[in-house]
Amino acid sequence: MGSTSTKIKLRTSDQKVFEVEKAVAVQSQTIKYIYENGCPDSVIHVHSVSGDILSKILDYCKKHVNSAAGKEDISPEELYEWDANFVKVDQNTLFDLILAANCLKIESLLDLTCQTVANMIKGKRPEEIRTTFNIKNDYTIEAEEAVRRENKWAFDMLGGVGTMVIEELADDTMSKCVTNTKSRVCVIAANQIVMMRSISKLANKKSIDVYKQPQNPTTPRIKESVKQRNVGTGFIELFFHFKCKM
Amino acid sequence: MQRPRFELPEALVMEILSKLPVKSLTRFNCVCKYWCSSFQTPHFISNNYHNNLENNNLNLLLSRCDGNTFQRYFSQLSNEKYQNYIVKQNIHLPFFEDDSPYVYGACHGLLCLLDPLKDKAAIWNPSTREFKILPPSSIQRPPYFSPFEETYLTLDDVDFNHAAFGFDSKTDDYKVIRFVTLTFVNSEEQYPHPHFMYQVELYSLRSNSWQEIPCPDYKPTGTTLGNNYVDGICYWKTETGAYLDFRGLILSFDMGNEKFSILPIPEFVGSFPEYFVNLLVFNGSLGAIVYPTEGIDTSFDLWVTSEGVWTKQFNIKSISGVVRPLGFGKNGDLFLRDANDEVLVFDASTQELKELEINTYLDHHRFAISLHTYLESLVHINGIQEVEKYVIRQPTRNASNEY
Repeated sequence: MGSTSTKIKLRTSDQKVFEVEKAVAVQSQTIKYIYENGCPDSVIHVHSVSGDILSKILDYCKKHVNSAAGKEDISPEELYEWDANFVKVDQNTLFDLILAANCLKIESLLDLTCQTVANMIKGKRPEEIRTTFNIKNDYTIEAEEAVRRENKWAFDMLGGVGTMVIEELADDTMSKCVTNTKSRVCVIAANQIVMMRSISKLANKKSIDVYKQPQNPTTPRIKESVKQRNVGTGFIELFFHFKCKM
Repeated sequence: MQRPRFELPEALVMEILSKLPVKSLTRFNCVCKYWCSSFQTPHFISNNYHNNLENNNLNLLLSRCDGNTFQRYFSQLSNEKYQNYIVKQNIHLPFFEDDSPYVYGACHGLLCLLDPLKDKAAIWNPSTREFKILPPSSIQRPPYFSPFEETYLTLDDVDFNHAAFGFDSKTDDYKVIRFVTLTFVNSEEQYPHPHFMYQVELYSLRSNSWQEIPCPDYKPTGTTLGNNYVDGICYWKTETGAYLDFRGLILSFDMGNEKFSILPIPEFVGSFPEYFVNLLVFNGSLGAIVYPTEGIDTSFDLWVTSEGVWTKQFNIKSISGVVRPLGFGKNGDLFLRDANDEVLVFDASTQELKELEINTYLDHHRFAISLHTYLESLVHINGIQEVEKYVIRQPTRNASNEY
C-alpha cells in the first residue's frame, strides 16, 4: 500500500500500547526523531504520557493529518471548531495535554492548549491566578499595594473609574447596577438596594449590607438588619464582572 | 479555576502567559515578583509580540478632527468584525497643541507622535500606556544669506511636516527621522518672498538625543496611508518634474545605515494627474493604492513592491460614491471615506461595502480623517505612565467588559 500504512507502536507510562499510522505519530517531533534514529520495528516508549492522554493526542494528530492530506473533507473553519471542542476538558486534563504536547513536541497542539488556558485566565484576578498555578505571593503587603497602584488602569474593568454604567441584567435577582462614586456601587435588585460600602474591602467579602427600599419613597432607606446577609458568590462575581477596583 | 493536581514547569507557564493580552499581564504583575520581572525580559516581550503578530491582534485608531473645536482626537475601534467596528474609547492628546499630532508607526506596537509646528514629540505605547516625551532637538538652524537681496534673512517659521518612526535591528534601537522646513523672509519687506531651507533630524531612543543628518536631494511631498515604515526602511512619496513632466518617486531611508535612496514608480502602476498613488504598508511589504482622480465610480488597485518588482495584488471594482481610501484594518478590510464624509469598510471576503456607525460626518473636519493600526506589545520606552495632562481616555458606552 505504501509508507502511509506503516505502523508505529507506542507504549505509555501506564503500559498501554498504541499502534498508529506513521504519518499520525510523526506529528510529534520527539517520536519522529526516535523513529528515524532507532530501530523502526521496536516499540517507542512515551513514558511521561498516560494512555488516556496519548489517546486524546492521537485523535488530534489523526484529525490534523487527515485534514491536511485532504483525506477528510473539512474546511478550516470546521477544523477550528473541532479544535475548540477538543480543548473543552477539565483543567487537569488540559494541563496534562500541555505537558504531553511539550514533551512530544507537537507545536500546534502546544499552541492550542496554551492559548486555551490563556483565554481562561485573562480576565481573572491575581488571587485566582495564584491558585491556578499554585504560586506563593512573595510580595509584602506594601510592595503589592505599590505594584497595584502603578498598574491601576489594568484593574478597572471598564477602563474608567467613576463612569456611569447602567446595565439591564438578565439574572433573576438583579435588575440594575449603577455606579455613583469611585468607591461605592449601588445595585438595585428587585425591590432592594444593595449598597457596597467600600469596593476595596470587597475582595474577600462574601457578604454585604443590604438596604431595603421602603414602600413609601419619602421615608429614608432602612438597613434591613444589623447582621450582614450572606450573598452567594454568584452575585459577587457578577458585580466584579461589571465594574470595580480590585 | 481549581487548584491543580500538579504544577506546570516554569517554561510552560511563561509560554501560556506570553499569549495573554497586555492588560492581563499588567494586572498579573502583582501575582509574584518572579512574574513581574519575567514580563520585563526581552525574551518574554519578544514572544508576546510574536504571538500578537501571529494572531494579528491589530488595534485600530481612527484619527478625526472635531469641526467645531478643530481639535483632533483618536477613536479606538473595536477590532471584532461582528461588532461592526464601534467606537470603544476616544483618546485625546492634550500634550500637543490642539491635540493634533501627526502619527507615525506603528513599529512593534509603538507609535510616534509629532507636532508639525513645534519641536514637540513623543513615543507612545498605547497598550502599556507608556508615554515617552522626546527632548527638543536643539539643532542649530543655519543662517540664510540671500545674495539677491544682499542680506541675511530672518527665520520666520519652522515646520516638521514629514517624518517616520522605525527600528534599527543592528543596534536594537528605535529611531525617529524628521524633515524640517525652514522658512526665511526678508523682514524689511512688507510682503516678503519666502525662501526655504531644509534639514533632517534623527532621534535615537537609546541615546535619547537628536543629531542632524545630510538632507537628500528630494524631499517628501505626500503623506502615506498609515504606517510608512517596514522591515528596517522608511518610505515617503516624492516627485520630480512639473505638471506635464510629472513623475512620482519614492524616497526611502534605511534605519540601519542611515542612508537615503530613490525608487522609481513604474508607469504601468499609474501616475498623477490621472491617478492618485497612495503609499502604504500591506502585509509586511511596501505597496500603493492607486485610483483615478476623476470619475464618480472609483476602483482601487492594490500594488505591492518587493526588490524593485511591482505586482498588482488585487483590484476592488467601482465603489460608487467613495472618495478616498484610509487604509487596511484586519483581514484585508479596506477603510474608505465617501463623498458624504462617512467612513465605510469594504469587506474583502464578502465583497460588501458597509457604513460604520461612528458618525464621522457629524461636525467633523472631513479632510483630517486617517487610520492608524498597531499591534499589542509590551515594549518599554523609558517613558512615564499616561497622565491626564498628556493623554485622556474616554471609554464609550460601547466599551464591553474587557479583561
